[in-house]
Amino acid sequence: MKLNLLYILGTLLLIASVLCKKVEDDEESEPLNFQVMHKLASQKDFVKRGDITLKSEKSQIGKYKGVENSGLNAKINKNDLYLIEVRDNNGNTLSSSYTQACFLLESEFKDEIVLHLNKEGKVLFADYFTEKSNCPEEIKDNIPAGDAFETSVRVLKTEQGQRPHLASLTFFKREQAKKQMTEKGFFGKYWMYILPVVLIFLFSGGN
Amino acid sequence: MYRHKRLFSFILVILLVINSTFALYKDQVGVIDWYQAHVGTPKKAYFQKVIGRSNLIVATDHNVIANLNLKSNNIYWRHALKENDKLVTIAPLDNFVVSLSESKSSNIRIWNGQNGYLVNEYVIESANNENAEYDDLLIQNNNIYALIHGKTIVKINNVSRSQEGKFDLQDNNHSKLFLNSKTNEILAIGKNNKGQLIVSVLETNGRIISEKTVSNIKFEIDDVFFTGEKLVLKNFNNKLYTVDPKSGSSSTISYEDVKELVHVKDNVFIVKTESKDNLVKINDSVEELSAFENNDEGIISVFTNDADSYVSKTSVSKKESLVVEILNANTAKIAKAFEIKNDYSKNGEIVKVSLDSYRNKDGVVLFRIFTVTKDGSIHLYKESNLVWDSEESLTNIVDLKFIALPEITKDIPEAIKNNENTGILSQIVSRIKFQLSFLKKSNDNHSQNSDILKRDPYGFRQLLLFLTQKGKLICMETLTKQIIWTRFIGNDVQNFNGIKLTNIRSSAVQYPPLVAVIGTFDDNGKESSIIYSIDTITGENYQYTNKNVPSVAKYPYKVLQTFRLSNEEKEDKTRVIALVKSETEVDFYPNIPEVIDSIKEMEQPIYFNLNDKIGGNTLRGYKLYINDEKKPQIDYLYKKTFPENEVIISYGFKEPVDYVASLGKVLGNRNVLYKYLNPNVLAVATVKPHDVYTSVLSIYFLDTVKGSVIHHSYYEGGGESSIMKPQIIQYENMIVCTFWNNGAPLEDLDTKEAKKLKKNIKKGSQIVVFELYESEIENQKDPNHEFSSFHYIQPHIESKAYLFDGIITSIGVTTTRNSITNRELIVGLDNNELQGIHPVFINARRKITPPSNEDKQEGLLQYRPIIPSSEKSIMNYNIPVVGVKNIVSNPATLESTSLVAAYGLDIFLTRRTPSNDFDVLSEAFNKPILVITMVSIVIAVIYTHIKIKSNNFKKVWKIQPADKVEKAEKKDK
Repeated sequence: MKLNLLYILGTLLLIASVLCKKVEDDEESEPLNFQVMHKLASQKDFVKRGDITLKSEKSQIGKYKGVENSGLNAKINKNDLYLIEVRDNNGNTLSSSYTQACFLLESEFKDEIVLHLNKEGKVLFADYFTEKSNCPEEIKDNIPAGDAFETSVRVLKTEQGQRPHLASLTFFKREQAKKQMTEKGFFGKYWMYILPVVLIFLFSGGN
Repeated sequence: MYRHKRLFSFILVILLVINSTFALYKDQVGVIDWYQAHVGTPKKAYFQKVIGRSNLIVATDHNVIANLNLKSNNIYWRHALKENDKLVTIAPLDNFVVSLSESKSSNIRIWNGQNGYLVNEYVIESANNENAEYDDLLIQNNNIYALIHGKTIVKINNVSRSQEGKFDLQDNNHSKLFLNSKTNEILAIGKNNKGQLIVSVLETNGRIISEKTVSNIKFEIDDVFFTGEKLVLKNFNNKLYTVDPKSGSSSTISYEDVKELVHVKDNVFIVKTESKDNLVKINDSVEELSAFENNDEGIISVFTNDADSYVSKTSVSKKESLVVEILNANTAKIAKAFEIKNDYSKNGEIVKVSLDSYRNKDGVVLFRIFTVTKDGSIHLYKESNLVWDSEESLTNIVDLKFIALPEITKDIPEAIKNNENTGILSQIVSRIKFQLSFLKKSNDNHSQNSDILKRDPYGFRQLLLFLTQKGKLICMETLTKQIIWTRFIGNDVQNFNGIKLTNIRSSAVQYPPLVAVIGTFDDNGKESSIIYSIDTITGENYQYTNKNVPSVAKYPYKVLQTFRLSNEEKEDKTRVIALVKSETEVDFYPNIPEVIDSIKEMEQPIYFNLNDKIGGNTLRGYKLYINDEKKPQIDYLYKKTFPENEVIISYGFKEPVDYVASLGKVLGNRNVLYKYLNPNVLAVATVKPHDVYTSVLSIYFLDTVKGSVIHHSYYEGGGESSIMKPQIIQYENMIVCTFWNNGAPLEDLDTKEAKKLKKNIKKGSQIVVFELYESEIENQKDPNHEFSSFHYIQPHIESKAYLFDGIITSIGVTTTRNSITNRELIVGLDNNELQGIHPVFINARRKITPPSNEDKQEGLLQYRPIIPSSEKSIMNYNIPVVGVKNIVSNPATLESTSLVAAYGLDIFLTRRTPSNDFDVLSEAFNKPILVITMVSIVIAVIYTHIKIKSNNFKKVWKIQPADKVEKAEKKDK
């Protein structure tokens, strides 16, 4: 009895240690940081708008924090494009995206950045969307600083493509074989009629 | 009884071999389909006697060896080698044809000249693939000497059918073999890297006698000939030289400027000079024997056999009649002169000629001329009579368009055409007159063409317009395969290179359908572009009502991209074409102010892409609009570069007609999954090499307006093979990708992981199907009524992968008028078959578990990893449709039917009904019974109607039937 209790206790301890190790592993993976730059297409240089932080490579959402005094002081026209760039901490451009500048005004600066990560956790592409995709009748405002944006960050990871499910093939083949076994062929079905005729003709006559 | 025993045994044997078969009836073949076999444009052609009869043997630019019928336009036999087995040369050997081709190995094949059967094959492995084009064949009696990679000579004995030797030369730049029949020595000549002539002399047993280099002559290898004793060559300065092959010593021959040197036999040559084309003998000096009388520009062709030697000169000009002059090289006299006809506007000038001489029953010498014209077509003449011609230009198609025919094509009265300017009464009178005349005409026997160019009620009759790379337009009719018209626009400009066809006006009662032909050309060394507006009914340039719009427009730049706009030129109602000159400049055709105004009036800008070609890795997006200064402006939008090492291997193809009948998919539980119908989705496949797997294939779905990535998935082992490239087709909310999987890595087979991979990743063809829905949740639809690429929706994607037993070379899908009918996937296979795959087999929603009742109601089959193939699904039954590169389809008027055309080397056209002929009465339908039933019902209705009427009359007047009256009277009594 004592032995059994010890055995259960030991098992529980083992499970607990494995779980702890997993949590530690998660904690060990470093957060990923990216810079978000923005500008209007007519402007020359990008201005830093904010930062994105992903807790880990496995995160499905990210956290955006805007930077103060990063507004774009320029008159917006209907055809103006608003560009964003996602850079790594060293300032290397990873990807860029755009939208119509006037959409930002109609959306009241509510937007979404979608990061596409490969299986190693490296950013392949970034996409940028505003909440609404139409222009206000009157375009008045400028593009505000990064902290005025209400930005959500979504992370999409590259999927492993579907493979032919071969296990179902083995199952299918087995089923087929069974079916073939049960389904008799022509001779299997009518051998009892054919055999006597063959035997009769084999052993009769000859003279 | 003994006799009966034999009979019964025979029946028994017959019973044993009985097996069920599936086949078409003979009269079902070619009813709804037609087929046209081609060989390609010959790069080498000669006449060869096989069992005493002349045969025309060709080796073509499409890797085809063929024997063409000399009496009619058909092929005795042909062999299309695989794309990776490049045919280098062919040579005659008695009744056989010897071919030399290069793949990973050098392949010498001996074919039976009469039936084309492969008699023997010799595969010569080489250490490397260097100088693979430096191959030649030399036939001596029954021995074949093959020069391989400019270095190795292989000797094959055709009697013992064995390889007798393989000799290596020092230099690997030899490219021609000659035979010295006097000394029985082989000469291998070539041009080394320094541009010097190299001559190696060998004995037939392979012993090298001498290897010499001649350094003082600059020449082209095609200008070197062997007379039997000496080499004769023409240098860059048009001077003649002789070279002794053994000593390597050269000497000049004094003669006037030689434009071209053609070897006839031994030391007899044709020397083309500025003024004359002479038949000469070359020893240490030139001895003139004779000359052609016609001094125009011409092509020399030689025919020699043991007894006769003839040389022909075929004049090359734009004239319709061309002079052919034939010299007898033995007698140095003109043997014959005649004229042949070549339609320059349809074929261009003659570029290649082969001569044949034969004797008829009376012993009279007659000649055949086989010509290849600039467009790529071939023609056979029996002296001045054209025996046949074949549109081999159709093997280089760059684009194909289906053109719907107008209901009435001509003789439409002005009052109907210009209804705005005429009164209603005159319109009515004109219409009645026209209909009466039309009725009268239909009773008369009128020309075949006018019959063909009318739309049939089911829309099976359409026009197929082909554009070839060299600029030939061929218009065929879909029902009868008849060529309506041809035109060679490659004549108009230098080095025309066809890009595409664009429909700029569809057929209407008063307007013929128009297409724009877009191509590039060489304008005195400058790459330029050209656009033609062509009336597809006549093939002529369309004359616009607005005189400022030219029917042919030239642009002094090479277009990067062209696309059709939704705007129309108002007078002729033709669609506008945008021609992108650079990333910032664009032109419009027609380029008139109204077009600019109409584009400016559009609310939405025009989005377009400049994507890298296959092998690149970047997509770029742009926006085009008319700015406030009324000038077209292009704004750069985005650039999407795929990760390092990844190269684009395939782009998704969409049929121009892609209607969607239903916005959602109705499930078994009567709920709906709404389709993600983004018109801007482009599927792109990239491939990158991989250490463990051979390669990894990635599939991206991108929105081309926004540049956003909708989906990305990767396939370990996926990629391409030498015979199968990835193909993608997009339709409705479906994307289908086919590719070759190189399989799991073969190393470390012992590990558990490797074993699992080996089990999961199979080598072979794969089909991956994607279905895109707006949401995973049933009945949930995007609230935005109008689709916008700027509005974010992450579609729910269902995907399944299937193994396919076949090498897929092309992919297409059926299209119908309203897309109510199922869409059938069509794949062109390496084994020359076209297979239709029913949508139930490539449904991405098939489940691995047995289907539930709801799944069954939805029509879902249980998932199987292999797509089944049956004889019924082979569209071309037993006809081999070789080298299919593209499959296109177009709807017929009947909703059930789609016209499908497959082209590459051969052309095949058929009608497909993926949901069966639901809108057509079946052939088995009993029409007399229907008529009898209808008539009976009508009679019955009339009879009962009369009966009821009479009863009612009697009731109203209280008239009782006579027998009842009698009974009543009796009762009363």
